[in-house]
Amino acid sequence: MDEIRCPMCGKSNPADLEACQFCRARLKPLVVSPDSGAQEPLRPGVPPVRQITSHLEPTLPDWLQSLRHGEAGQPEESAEPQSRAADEAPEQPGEPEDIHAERSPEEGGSTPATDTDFQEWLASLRQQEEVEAVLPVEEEIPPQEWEGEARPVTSGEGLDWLEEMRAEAGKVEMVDEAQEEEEAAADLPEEVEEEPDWLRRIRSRQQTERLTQGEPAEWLEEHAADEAQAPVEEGFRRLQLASEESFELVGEDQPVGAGAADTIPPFIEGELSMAGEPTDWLAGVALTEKGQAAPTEEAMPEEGSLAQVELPSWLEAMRPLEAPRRGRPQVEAGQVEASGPLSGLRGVLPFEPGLFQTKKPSTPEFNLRVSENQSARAQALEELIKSEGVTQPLPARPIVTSQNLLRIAIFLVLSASIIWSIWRSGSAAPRPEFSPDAFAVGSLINRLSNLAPVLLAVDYEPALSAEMEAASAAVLDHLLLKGASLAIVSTVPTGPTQAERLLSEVVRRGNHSPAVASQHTNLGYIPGGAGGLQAFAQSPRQVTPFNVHGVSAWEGGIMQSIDSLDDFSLVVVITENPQTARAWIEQVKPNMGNTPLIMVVSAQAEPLVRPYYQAYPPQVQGLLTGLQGGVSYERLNARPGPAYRYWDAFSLGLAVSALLIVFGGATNAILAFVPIPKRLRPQGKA
Amino acid sequence: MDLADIDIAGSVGFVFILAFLLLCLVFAVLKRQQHAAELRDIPAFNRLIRALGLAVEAGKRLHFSIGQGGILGMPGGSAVIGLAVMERFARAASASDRPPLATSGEAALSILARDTLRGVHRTITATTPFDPQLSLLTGLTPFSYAAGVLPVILDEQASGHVFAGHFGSEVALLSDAAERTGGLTLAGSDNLTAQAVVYATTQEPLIGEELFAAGAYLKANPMHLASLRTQDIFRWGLVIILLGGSILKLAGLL
Amino acid sequence: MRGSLSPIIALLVGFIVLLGYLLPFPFLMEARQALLHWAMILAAVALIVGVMNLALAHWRKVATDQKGGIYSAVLLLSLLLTLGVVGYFGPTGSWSLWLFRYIQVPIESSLMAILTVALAYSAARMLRQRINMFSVLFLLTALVILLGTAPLFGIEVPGLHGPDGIREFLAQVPAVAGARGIILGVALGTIATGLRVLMGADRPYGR
Repeated sequence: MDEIRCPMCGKSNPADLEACQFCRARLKPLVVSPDSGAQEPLRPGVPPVRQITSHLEPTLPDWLQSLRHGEAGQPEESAEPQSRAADEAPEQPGEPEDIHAERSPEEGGSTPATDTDFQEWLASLRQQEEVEAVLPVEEEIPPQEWEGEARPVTSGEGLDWLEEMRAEAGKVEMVDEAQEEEEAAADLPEEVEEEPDWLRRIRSRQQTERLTQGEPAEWLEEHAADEAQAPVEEGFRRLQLASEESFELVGEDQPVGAGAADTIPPFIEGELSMAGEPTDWLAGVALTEKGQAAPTEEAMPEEGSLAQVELPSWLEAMRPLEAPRRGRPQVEAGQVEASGPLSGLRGVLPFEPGLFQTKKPSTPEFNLRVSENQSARAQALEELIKSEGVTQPLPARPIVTSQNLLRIAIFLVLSASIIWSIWRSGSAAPRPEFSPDAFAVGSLINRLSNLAPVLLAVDYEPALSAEMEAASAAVLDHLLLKGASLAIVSTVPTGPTQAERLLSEVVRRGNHSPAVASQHTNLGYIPGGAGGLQAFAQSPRQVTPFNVHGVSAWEGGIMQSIDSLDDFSLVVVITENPQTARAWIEQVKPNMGNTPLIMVVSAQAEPLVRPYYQAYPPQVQGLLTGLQGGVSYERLNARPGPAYRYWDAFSLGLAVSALLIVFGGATNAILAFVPIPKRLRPQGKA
Repeated sequence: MDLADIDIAGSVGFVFILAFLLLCLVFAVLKRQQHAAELRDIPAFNRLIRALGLAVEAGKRLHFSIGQGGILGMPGGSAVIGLAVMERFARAASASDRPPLATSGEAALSILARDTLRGVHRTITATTPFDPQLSLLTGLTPFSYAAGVLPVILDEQASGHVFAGHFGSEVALLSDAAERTGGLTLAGSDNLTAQAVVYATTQEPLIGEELFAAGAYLKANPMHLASLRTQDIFRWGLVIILLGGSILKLAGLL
Repeated sequence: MRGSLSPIIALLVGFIVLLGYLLPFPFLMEARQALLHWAMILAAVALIVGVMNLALAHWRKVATDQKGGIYSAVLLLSLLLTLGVVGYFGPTGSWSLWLFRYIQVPIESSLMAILTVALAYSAARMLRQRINMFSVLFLLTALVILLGTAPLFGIEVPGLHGPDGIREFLAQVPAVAGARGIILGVALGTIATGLRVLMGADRPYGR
């Protein structure tokens, strides 16, 4: 009993079955030939047989028939291209060519009449310059429901069979090739004996091609070049009829039925269009987007060029420019598939799973066809994403800016005025008169007896040494003149050293005796700010038991009679910080009893200290403010000191500063209402 | 203890403190739903909040300088406020690539600043170790502290500078350098000299006791809002007392 | 344990000091004294810790070769040198005074001088940054004080200079009054801040 191998599962089934008993796939094709009774389904391995398709002509649409009839009247033009094709076509193996070449009239191949039609059709095709087609691309034809072999159509495959068809016109090379194919087919392993002859010849030609490594025809190369240059209009699809013979996917000796053309499945048309293998009823037809036939005479392609099928731009962009290079499984060339729908074919992937070591397929490289604009945008987006994680360095600030120049100008003007004032000898600015404040301080110090204990607090920072020393030098000088015993203390870490420096300067300028200068005790630094002051006020011996040299401070000299702050004759505080001044007033004064408090403060602290001085009863008995107070006190004692020397430069500097502020303020006030050009706006105010 | 031993001033002070405390608690409990929208608008804080958002987006940091006043004494109040503001923004800036940087000019204050930042870091993220160099003691005297902060202002990629604490006139150097960088500069101090200086040098100065209202405006703590309302009430009380006393004195009754 | 003990200690100590200041109870006053002394000691220790922290931060900068490491190296060398000199000769020794007189004072005085330039520049640009009535009033007051403090190019302007001049009036009446008002507000703010610390609402000692 005859058996039919199922094209899907590859299992044998009885020949009379319509569907496979294992997988229920159809065993027999759905195509019905009008000239035959029983149809045999196309079996794998069975080469297709050339059929006469002219009987399908009544089934064609009218417009198609008219096109065909129009081409029939051009036999001379078709002969010449055919001869040229015969001369130019090299030995190129191709399945359709082989198929057509091997089909003899006894096998149901083409008759001389159909050959003439074919030539005419081919000639008309060449005359159509407008007919262009896109070469079929590598695309797997998806598995269809019909019984037939679904094989991948590689690029150039349609061109190969076109070459062969042209060569067939001369029937010289093809005969040789046919002989070669028969010889090659004889070398095929036994597993392919059941293959159809046409398929066998296809395989042999492939083998020959591999051996000979034939070069593509020149006209094929030219066509490829033209194709690259030819503009592809979107939506315009034109078929290049590269075949001069019909091709029918039916079983052997099974002509196609008359009614088959009406029901030609779209997959067949699609496959044909991809492979460039039109049927004879498509011969000479150039399809436009509207389905109207393109003019034939004007669109006759040039010799050697192929009309290409135009794909939409989006589909065109998805075409990989290069074939995947990696990850292709290596398949033995000689291995013939024994089961499955590809049974009988050589060089295909095996059907049975597990033959290959399963591994993760490597990612194929695809270079998408993108335009320059698209690639630029993609690159910009990628850089934008990358830049998010990258710390952007700050731009370098320019050194020479208008702000820096203005600062330098202010500095130069102030420096010039002060230096000029110092350099110029003599005093230009009148000294201030005796102030009541200075007089009060002088009175308090004059009441001191010889060796009277005086607590001296040096609580200013080194930065304000200039002002504070100028303001307090006269007071210290007066104290030394009265022979007071000084106990030095400070709430500033640099205070003890500051006090020593001040004292040494006063001694040097005032020409005091060293013995007088040595009558002082440096109690050092009191930590804790206001809290420390309060603790010192309540128990000075406990808070500062030693002097800066580490020796007990309260056991020798005048200090041994001091138990609390009210035992001091006078307390003098020298500070620039208004809060330090307030801390002394608020924390220490309540523990001083009747001991007077003199404050020598900076000009910036005066507004906060003066209320204590002007209060009733006053909490501060004497107040000297800044350089002005120092000058006044020096004038009162008639002992010029540093304040006296600084007064000229100080007054000139103040005047120049005021002028700079007036001028600069007026200028900036005017500029505030003037719009600044964009290019001049400061960047980051640098 | 006899009545004569009672210190009048101390007793008045005790009553004052007690009343202040009770009023704070009353406002904190009863007015819990009130929010900062009812307060007087201070644009400095609005700009500061916006600068925080910009800093987070731009991947930059905020720089907090909490001054050189210690916690013992009057400057301690402004120092605590500076720490509270810094903590508030450190939490909000946790999403930024660069955490806030704190500088100070007093030893105890720098330790507290580091402790505050470490606590925020521990609360927010535990994946990366805390960088102790986020809190810097730049100097022990006012101008050496200012000299140490200047490189931080000019070199670090800070989009905003906040000077909140006890400063002296040296804050002019800091605010001038911060203005040069182009970022937001907000400065406030309890020192009158510093307030005068920042009024002339910064974009957003905090004058008077606006620095002490920072916590309420930045929603650091509900108790901040309650204490701010209490301050307002006592301020009015002081105004009435001062004016009334002056009038009575002029009238010869006092 | 640590999280709940710190606020309790802070609250207790704060209330003892406050009450000891306000109420004349002997035990409170003695407790306040003792706590204040402890605070002073801690402040002094904190100063030493601060110096060590400063040195460590700069050492780390030098060791990791960060930007500005050379300046940190100079700072460390200066610190060691000063410690050595002052430790050996004492804070009032001749060499200690030499370092203070010829290095520290000039450096800090120079910074003060730069401050003068910065303030003059800021005052000149203030109207461009913020032009309103208060800015104009601010500038005018500053000008009056500047011009009235010392003779103007050797000339004492009547009404401006002298004990009866406008400068003295501005410095002793409006400025004092305004300063007093600000100080009252600052004092209220400080009280509020201190009470928040006592109540535990503000924890500057960390969490």
